[in-house]
Amino acid sequence: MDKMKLSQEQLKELRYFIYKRGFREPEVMMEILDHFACKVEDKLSAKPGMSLEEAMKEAHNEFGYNGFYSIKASFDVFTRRRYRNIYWTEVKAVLSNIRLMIVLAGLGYVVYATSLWAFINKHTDWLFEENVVGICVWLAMLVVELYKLSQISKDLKKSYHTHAARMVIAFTPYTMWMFLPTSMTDSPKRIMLSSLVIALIVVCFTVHYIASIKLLKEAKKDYEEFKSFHPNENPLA
Amino acid sequence: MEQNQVVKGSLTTIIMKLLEDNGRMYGYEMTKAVKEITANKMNITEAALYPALHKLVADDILTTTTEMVDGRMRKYYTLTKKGKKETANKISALQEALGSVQLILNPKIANG
Repeated sequence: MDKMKLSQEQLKELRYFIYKRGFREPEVMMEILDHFACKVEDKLSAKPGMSLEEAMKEAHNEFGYNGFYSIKASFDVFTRRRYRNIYWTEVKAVLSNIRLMIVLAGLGYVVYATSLWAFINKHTDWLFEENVVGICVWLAMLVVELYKLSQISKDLKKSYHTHAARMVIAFTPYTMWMFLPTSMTDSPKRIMLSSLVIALIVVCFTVHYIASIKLLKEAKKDYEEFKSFHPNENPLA
Repeated sequence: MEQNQVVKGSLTTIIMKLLEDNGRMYGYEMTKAVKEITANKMNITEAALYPALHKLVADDILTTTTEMVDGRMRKYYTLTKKGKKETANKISALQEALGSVQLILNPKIANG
């Protein structure tokens, strides 16, 4: 017996069936559609008189109590896990690159020395009267984050992969900001410690930034691969 | 039904073995292959298969390629280099475990 193949019109109905159940991202739809379509094709081949609707219902029931949700949930969890792996692999690559580490150590030292100088000479900003170097670091991190956001085009902002990648890298810089010690002090121990923390945060943020760029590039590659098969953003098209 | 519970624990090994034998496969093909090989005695549900496949991809055991087939995108799974190495270990670990279970279930036969 020849296996029945679904027409484009029938596939459209399948897409609508999935869409109606709340699975609207085209990437997730693609993850579900082929398996669902194979099941429906098998049902229609086994019982040629069966209607498409009946076949879809039967096939959907076979996905179990959670329906398509189990596929979407695991796709979400493991896409993020894959991206976390890419992020940490890049962090390790940076940390094991001796040249880059020398540059980072130099950067850390410059920030430490200038921060020490600002604390000792009481160079503060005009608004909050905090260590001017700490405030500059804070502003630089903000500018870098805004630049990174501006580099993600409108297209990519809608992409499932870019969204997942951003979920992985979103919180790190904001948590770092909370630890920036910028209040002025006279205690030599606190001055040294605060300058050291500011320098460390700059180094960590730079490593984080390099790994984030790598991760966003990977997410873009995934998105472009997906788009080469599915140029239309509409999941029902 | 009971068999499915046994399958759950060894699902990743089954997937890896199928891919070792067939090169590349897509999700539905795997469920059908298991049914055919076991003469319908074992059934891999989607709720178990996809989390296992996604986990193996995230752990760099499997890699995917996408192709347009019959008007829709199809994702094929293949073992990576790391996956090929791990398959042999996984199979021997599962065989050892099954041997141990055999010792418990049939102590006389196993002891001769």
